[in-house]
Amino acid sequence: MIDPPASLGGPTAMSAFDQGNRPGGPEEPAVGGSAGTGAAPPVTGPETDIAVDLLAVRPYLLTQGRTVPRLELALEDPVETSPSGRDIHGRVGLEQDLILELCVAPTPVVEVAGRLDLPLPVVLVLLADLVVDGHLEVRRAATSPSTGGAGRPDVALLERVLDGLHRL
Amino acid sequence: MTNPTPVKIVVAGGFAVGKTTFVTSLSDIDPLTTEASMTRVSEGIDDVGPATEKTATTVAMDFGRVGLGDDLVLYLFGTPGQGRFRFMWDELVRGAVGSVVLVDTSRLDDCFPVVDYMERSGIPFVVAINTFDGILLHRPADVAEALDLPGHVPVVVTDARHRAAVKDSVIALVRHAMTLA
Repeated sequence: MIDPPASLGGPTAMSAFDQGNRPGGPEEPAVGGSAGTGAAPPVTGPETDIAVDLLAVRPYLLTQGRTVPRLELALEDPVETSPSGRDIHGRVGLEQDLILELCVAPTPVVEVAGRLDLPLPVVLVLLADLVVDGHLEVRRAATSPSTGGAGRPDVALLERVLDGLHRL
Repeated sequence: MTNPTPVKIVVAGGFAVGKTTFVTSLSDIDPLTTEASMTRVSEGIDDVGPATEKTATTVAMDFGRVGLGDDLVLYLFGTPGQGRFRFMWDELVRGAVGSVVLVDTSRLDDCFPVVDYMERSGIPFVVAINTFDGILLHRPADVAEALDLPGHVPVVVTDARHRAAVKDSVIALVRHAMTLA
C-alpha cells in the first residue's frame, strides 16, 4: 500500500490518509482512546457492515481481557437467571444486565450471543462468570457435551427427532 | 415452561453455498448470526449473495432453531466450511446429531475441507447437493465419487430455499445417524 512517489500535493494527502487507515484497518480501528466515551457510531473500517460493529468497545474489554471462560458451556445449553441474578440486576455491567434480562426465560448460550450482538467467545466468558457467581443457572440437557462425554444422541433420542421432523 | 431437550445439527459447506438459506428455511425464528471469534478475520462471513460479491469481514455463525413438539428443540448451526475455521468445528460438532454438508457442484472442491474433517472425526454426515434454480448438474453418484466418499455416506439432493427439501435432508441425516448410533 505504501506509495513511494508520494511527493505530489493531492496524491500525497490521499495516500497519507490511506496509510493512516490501512494498518489500522479492520483489525485496529480507532477505538483506543474513545472507547469509554463511545457514544459515536462505533468503529468503522473500510469493510464494516456486520452486527459486531455495534460494539462500541473492543470485545475483550468486556471480559477484562480474558478469553477463557471459567466454566465450560455448550452452545445449546440453556441458561436461566437465578433469584440471585434477579437481585443483582442493575448493579452489574450493562452487558450482564442485558443477559440477566434476556435469560429470565431459559435461553441457549448461542442465542444470547446472537440477540445481544456480542461475539460468542465474549458471551461465553460473561455467562460463565454469571454461572460461577450463582446469578445464572445452566439447564444442561442430558445430551449436552458439557455434561461430559461425547454426548452423541442415542437411538431413542434420534427416533424422537425423526418423529418430530415428520410431523413438521 | 419446561425445558425441551436440545439436539443440534451442523450445516457446513463452502462459500455462499446456501447454508444461511438452508437454516432459514427450517428455522422457527429468523436466524441469528453471531461472531464466532474474539478478533476479526479478514474474510469468511458466509451468508449473502453470489460468491463473487462477498465482502464482509467476520467469522460468522448462523443459528436457527425449530421446535419438534413440546419436549424437543432442534438447533441448526451454519458454519463456514473453509479449513481455517476448523477451530469452530470441534465445538460445534460435539454432541451433534451430525452434519449436513451442503455442496454446489460447480464448486465442489469448496467442501473438501469440511468433508475431510467430518470423515476423520467420525461425525455422521450427509452430503446435500444444493440445486440452485432447481437444476441438478451432476448425479449424486458422481458427486460421491468425486468426493471419494465412503460408501455409507448418503448423498441427497436438496433446495435450500424450500422447507420441505431442507426437512428431507435433515431427515436423511437423522436416519443416517441412527444407523451409526
